[in-house]
Amino acid sequence: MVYFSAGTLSRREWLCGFTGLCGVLSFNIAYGLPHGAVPAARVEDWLLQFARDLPHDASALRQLGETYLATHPVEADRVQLSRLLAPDGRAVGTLSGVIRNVERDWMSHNVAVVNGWVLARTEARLCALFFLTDPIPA
Amino acid sequence: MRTVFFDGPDSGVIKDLREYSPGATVRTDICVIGAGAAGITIARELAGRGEDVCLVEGGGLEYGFPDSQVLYQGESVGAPVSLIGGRLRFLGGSTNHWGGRCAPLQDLDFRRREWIPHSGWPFDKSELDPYYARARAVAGFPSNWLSDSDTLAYLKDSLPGINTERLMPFLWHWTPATTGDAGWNWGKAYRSVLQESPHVLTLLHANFTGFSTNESRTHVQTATVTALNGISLNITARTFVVCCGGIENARLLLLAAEHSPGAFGNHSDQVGRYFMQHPRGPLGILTGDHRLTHLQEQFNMLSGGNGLEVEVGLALSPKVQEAERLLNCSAVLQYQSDPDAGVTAAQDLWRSLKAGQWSPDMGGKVGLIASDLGDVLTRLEHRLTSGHSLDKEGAQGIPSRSAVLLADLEQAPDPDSRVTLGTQRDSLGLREVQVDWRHGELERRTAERFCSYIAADFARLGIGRCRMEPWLQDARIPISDALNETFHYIGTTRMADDPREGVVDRNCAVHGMDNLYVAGSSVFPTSGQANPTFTIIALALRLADRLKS
Repeated sequence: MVYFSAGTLSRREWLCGFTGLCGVLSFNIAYGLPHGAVPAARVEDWLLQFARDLPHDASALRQLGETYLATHPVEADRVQLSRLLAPDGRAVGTLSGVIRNVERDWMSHNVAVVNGWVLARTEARLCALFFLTDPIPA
Repeated sequence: MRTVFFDGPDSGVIKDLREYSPGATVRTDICVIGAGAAGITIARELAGRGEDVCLVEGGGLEYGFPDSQVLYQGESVGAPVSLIGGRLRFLGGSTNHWGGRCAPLQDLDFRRREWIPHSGWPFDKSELDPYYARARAVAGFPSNWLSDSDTLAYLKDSLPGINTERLMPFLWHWTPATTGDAGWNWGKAYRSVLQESPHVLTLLHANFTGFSTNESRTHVQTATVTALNGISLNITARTFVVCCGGIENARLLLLAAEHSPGAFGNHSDQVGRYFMQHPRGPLGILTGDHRLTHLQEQFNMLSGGNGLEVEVGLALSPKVQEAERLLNCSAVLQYQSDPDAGVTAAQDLWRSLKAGQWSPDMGGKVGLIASDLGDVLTRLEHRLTSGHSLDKEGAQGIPSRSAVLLADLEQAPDPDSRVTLGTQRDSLGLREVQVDWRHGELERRTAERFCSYIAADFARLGIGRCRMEPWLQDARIPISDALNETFHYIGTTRMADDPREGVVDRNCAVHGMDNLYVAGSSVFPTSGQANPTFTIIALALRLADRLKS
């Protein structure tokens, strides 16, 4: 019996999507919170680096973000989400900072189940921010 | 009372009740009703100490008596229970379904857990430990048992770094008897032992049809058994032990209590209540963009040579069960073959050629093998040369990128989940059973938490991502639609020191009766998550010791 269902994401897709989202997030935060934010050019470098080798299922990530916000409407705000994603009340700024947050989420079991996927809370919020930043597929 | 009297040959034989003359009687020390794992174990133990035993089996020597099997017919009015398919009426009983998977219950399973009403055994696990040790041989294990500690020590360096505060590796031992011989079954394994025992008379096609008691209904005097051709026989014994399985044990006591209200352990209307199984089903699917090779080496069936096999899965830690007020549960990973792997193509090709057929898409398969030649050759070499004490590499089996998390859940004891007598009657004129199997929302919550912990750990470790089954999150989906029964029928004649809370006491004696006992999983007050047969055997050995003393 095959249980594998349509619409699943591979880890590679996750990694790519996640990295892309970090870029979007960093860009957002850099725009609103200039102190300690990653420069937009650096974010673009990250995206190029990962997008070169890996596929990127943006629509699935947007959908996850939309679903997450449907159950967490209080977070449906870009500024609010950016604050929630900032570690220790500071701007995220770096990819490694976000990755640290995700690791912390797993350790403390701070997770969100979205469309069946078990996501670290930070991942779910990144998807949500992605959806809010660019809700219509290109 | 040391002699078996009847008008056929002497004991040490297996006889067919249908060939007896009407009005025959048997007088024996112990009458054991039901010849499954519990009944045969008790009969062997007692006979080994010189007690005369009459072992009664409703079916024949082998499966193949539909008229007998249909006596298991009944009505399932709750979650589906396969009353005929889940049970077997022939020597060996429903244990003939047994696949050989063994694990003891865990410490916490025996404790009274205040968040689970009606939980708690009258004793703790240490009481059963010596019997678990003896049960290994009965279950068909050789003396070179692979202990849990040895196995875990072997796996220690290579098990993924799971968070042991939340999850723990769980081991099942598979008996070589079943893994080495596809045609093996319990009845066949013990038939010659019964035949050779000078103290055991085994009666086949002997269906229980009633007890007679003393006036105060505290002492069973005779059990009547009847064949489908109408031949009946009364068995007089010092002690009677009912070992007919988790549903039939309750039915038998309820039938007996019909004519003796308040007797047969049913003075507090407890017989048949708390019916449980181990609901089994997928919790989610684990996927990765890479093969799950390392995971397959750890969480899998590991071959230990000489037919010994250990299955490594995961269980919810007792700490989390307590902290989050959850049930027990476990899961194994069922790996799905990667259709694009060269090894999968080679296996398909080999199977086709062995069957004398030309494989469809031969060119494509050869191409896959060629593109994955290194892996194909490595596995082939391993196949030809392996002989490790615990074969992790061999456990890789099929190349896989995804796996189903298949769980076994404990159920909370529910007095409304129950076996009662229905209105229909079987061909012997006895009322059939009606089974109302129920699930509880704590099962869903337990499964959801368990799956989420596994998903989080596997994601953290970079093993893969997990997508939960919808029923874990959506209370509108009936649990019975998501989980299957396992034929592990538990709890209907539960053990309790207080007669108001159970049917048998800590020694498996029916409350209020001085010579009637019950054996089998029906006496478990809680089920744990482990398959019940190993515990059934341990409890049977314990009861045999009590009866001997």
